[in-house]
Amino acid sequence: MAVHVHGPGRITAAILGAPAAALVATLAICGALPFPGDAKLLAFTFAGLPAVALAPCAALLARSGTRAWIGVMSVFTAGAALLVVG
Amino acid sequence: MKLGPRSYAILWDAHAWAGAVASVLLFVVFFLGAFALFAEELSPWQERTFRAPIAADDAMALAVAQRLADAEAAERQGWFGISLPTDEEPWLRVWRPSGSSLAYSFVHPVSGERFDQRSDLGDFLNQMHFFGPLPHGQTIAGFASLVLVLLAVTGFLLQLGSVLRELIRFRPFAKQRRVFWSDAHKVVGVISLPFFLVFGLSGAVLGLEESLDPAVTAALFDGDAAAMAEVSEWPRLPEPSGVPAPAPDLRAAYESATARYPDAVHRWFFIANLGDENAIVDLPGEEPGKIAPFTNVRIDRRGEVIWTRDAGGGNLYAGPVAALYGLHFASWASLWGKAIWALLSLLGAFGILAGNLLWIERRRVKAPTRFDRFLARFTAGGCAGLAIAVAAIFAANQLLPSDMQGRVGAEKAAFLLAWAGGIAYAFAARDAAVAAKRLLLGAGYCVLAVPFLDAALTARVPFDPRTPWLFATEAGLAIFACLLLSSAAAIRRMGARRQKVSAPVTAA
Repeated sequence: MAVHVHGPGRITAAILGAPAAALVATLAICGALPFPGDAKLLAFTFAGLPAVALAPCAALLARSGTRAWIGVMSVFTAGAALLVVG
Repeated sequence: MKLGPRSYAILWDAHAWAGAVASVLLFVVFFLGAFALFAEELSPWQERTFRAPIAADDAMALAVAQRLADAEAAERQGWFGISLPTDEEPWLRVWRPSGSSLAYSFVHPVSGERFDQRSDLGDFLNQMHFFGPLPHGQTIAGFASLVLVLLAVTGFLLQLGSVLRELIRFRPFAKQRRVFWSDAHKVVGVISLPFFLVFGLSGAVLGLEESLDPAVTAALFDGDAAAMAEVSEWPRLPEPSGVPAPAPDLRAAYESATARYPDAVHRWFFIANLGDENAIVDLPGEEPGKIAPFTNVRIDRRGEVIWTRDAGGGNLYAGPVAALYGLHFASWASLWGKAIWALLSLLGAFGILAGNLLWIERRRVKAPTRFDRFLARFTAGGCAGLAIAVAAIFAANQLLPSDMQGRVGAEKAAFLLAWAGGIAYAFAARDAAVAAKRLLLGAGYCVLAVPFLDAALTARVPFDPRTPWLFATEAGLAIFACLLLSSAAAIRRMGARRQKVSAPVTAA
């Protein structure tokens, strides 16, 4: 198996940024769904929480630390904007 | 379908590092999960008074419960809980707030004799399963559960295209120990995958519910906490009115709950605002054999049913989550079903341990770093030390005098000190594997001695099938001791084999 060098950018994005960004984004998306509260909470529990758990993998799969952080910040900003507007 | 080499390498690293960092936490969760399943069944073991049969029928017990609630209502206002006798706990249990936690006492349903809780063995092991007694423990368990979801999904992705092969390939006699641990980790991982996903998700919901509640309420319910409580099927309680009033009629409440859910077992009364005009009684029930068995009837002080919850949940969210909790707590299961669940939990703990040992073995043949050496010792102390801690609390439960002041705290201290001692020993010992072997041996012999100790102290024959609750506990302890001693023997054999393999290399 080829050894992959991750670098501090991607690692910090995976540990610190990605779960928080995923949490904000999933809360925003579930909150904006045109469904009643029980369906929103169901979506958050069964899709949002796993997304938070797997978000670090997405950051690690980025081509560079910079791209990983850009992705994290984009998702976070979009999620936060949706929360404010929604 | 298979992952590309880059994705494989990245996900492999994510799986390995997340596993290594959270391994001991997850080991604790799974290892103690096996005990948590039997928290109620351990009652007659931990408290010898409960080995007698139930001395009164429900009508008598309800009359005693009413007297206790009336006396409590006259004395103070606030929260109060009481349970009717059960097979495992044939006295009435009384719950009272004590600081930030609850204090328990027990009342005989006929004589009215009363004593304060003397052992918390079963419930403490249940609480330690999610680090409840430790600061922020439940939140830590919630994050560990999210890591478990990550491990389960990345583990599955890494095995894409070879899941069937990994399920059946096990080479216990391979020359390299790495192969043994790799096979063990993969076989257990594939078998336990659905189990891990259920426990990871339900553990995350249970552990993080409190922390995430404000954000979820704000984002999904526009800050309406009452709406969130409705969907979660636990509507908010009314505030106390300030007008004193006698306790609610518990017999009438019991009859209403039984009429509403005739298949459910109702043994508990949780009264909010006792002594106030706005007192509310919650009667949680369980419908045996259902995956999601929990019901609830909420009754006000005048005896009106103001809210009910059906087994299986009453809305889109509550239904699936109730099923998830039912699977987590094995509340659908008989004693045999729980035993299988407990073995699966121990298998999960072994799978996590195998992953760590695979990491350590891979690094041992290269040049181990400081982290690898730390992980080896922390694994030995954290995991084998936990076995010593469990043995210590069972032994303390036998040996501490029943009239000792602070007995409950002493039992818990025995557990925590033994665990801390096990970890310290693993770091002080010359070799982590030898330390683990010795800790497991000590724990195994100690656990094995516990049934005989209990029999000697109560002048009875051990392993007597005519006393089913005791026999089941003794059989469970004996099986657990055998597992610990077999693990110690396996470590010794592997150590001997390693010496044989490395001896010619050293000589050369």
